[in-house]
Amino acid sequence: MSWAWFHRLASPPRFYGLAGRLLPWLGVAAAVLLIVGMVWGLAFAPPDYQQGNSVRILYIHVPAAMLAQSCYVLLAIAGVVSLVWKIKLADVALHSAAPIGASMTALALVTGAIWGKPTWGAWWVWDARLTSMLILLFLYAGLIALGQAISNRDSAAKACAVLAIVGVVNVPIIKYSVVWWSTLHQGATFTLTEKPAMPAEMWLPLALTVPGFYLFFGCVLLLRMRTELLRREGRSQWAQAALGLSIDSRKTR
Amino acid sequence: MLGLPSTSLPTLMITLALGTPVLTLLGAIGAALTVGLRRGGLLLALLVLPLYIPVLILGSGALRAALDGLAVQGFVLWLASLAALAITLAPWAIIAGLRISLNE
Repeated sequence: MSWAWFHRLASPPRFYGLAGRLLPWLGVAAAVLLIVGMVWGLAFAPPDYQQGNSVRILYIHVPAAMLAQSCYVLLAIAGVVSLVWKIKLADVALHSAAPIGASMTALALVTGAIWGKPTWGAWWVWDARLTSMLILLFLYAGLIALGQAISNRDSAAKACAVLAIVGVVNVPIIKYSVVWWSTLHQGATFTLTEKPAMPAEMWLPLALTVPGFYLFFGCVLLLRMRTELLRREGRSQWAQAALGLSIDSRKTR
Repeated sequence: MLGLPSTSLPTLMITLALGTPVLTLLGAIGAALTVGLRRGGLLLALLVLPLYIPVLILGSGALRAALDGLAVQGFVLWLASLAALAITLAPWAIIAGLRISLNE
């Protein structure tokens, strides 16, 4: 099997062009899914018989939490690619994705606290899943801090890759924490194999917001990666051409 | 001893014996990554504490179970698997960290 496509994709100008062409589609798809899903979920979906209207925060909390974990797995994969194949684009991806993942973790924790106050009566409990999500936030923070602290970019790339790989052990712990410890946080809302234990009117908006969040993440990630590539390779010919072209096209108007 | 009933002391000893190598090796990974940095002390704490927390949860959970008279095998086996992973894989991470710090 030819891996040439993999190495071709790792070239910055090719990735820059591909990401630029992909961005409008991702952006529009994300916007449509998010707007439809959020409005449906936050305004029109039925309230829960026990929790009332506070269950609506599910439509933000669940995608954010899923994304927080997926993003860390992405960081670990980028770390492996960066260390094994020495592809600099993987380090660009790691650097760009870490703050987005950290924001998603923070969003999940905050929306969870907002949800927990009326339903559980407490903003925070030291429950297994909440604690392990907090650990994930600290892992992200440490990763970002380590990347900033090392001045040599190649060393910073290797250090962040090592830390990302070491920390990925935490992600299965988060995912299965609700299975291993039945403390307070409820079990999985839905799995890939079974129908969710919710009526369709309640989980359909979720089926829209989850892909919407992921597409939004993809959109923001590609934007950040393009910016980071321009920042790192600004002096190179392809970057000058990419920037020069956009300036020239504005001049001719 | 230590304010604990003597029936829970074997569990305490086992969890300490399994957890200490893990904590030491994780600390060594963090130290290897930050040794070349000026003022790396706080960064070391930030890096290493999230990695420590699963070990702490498992160890204290085992002792809690022993005090309540419940089974501790689950916790002890998890600690043992973390210890096995740490002893076998942490040296590679430490090597990588030291190489990075030497280059700095």
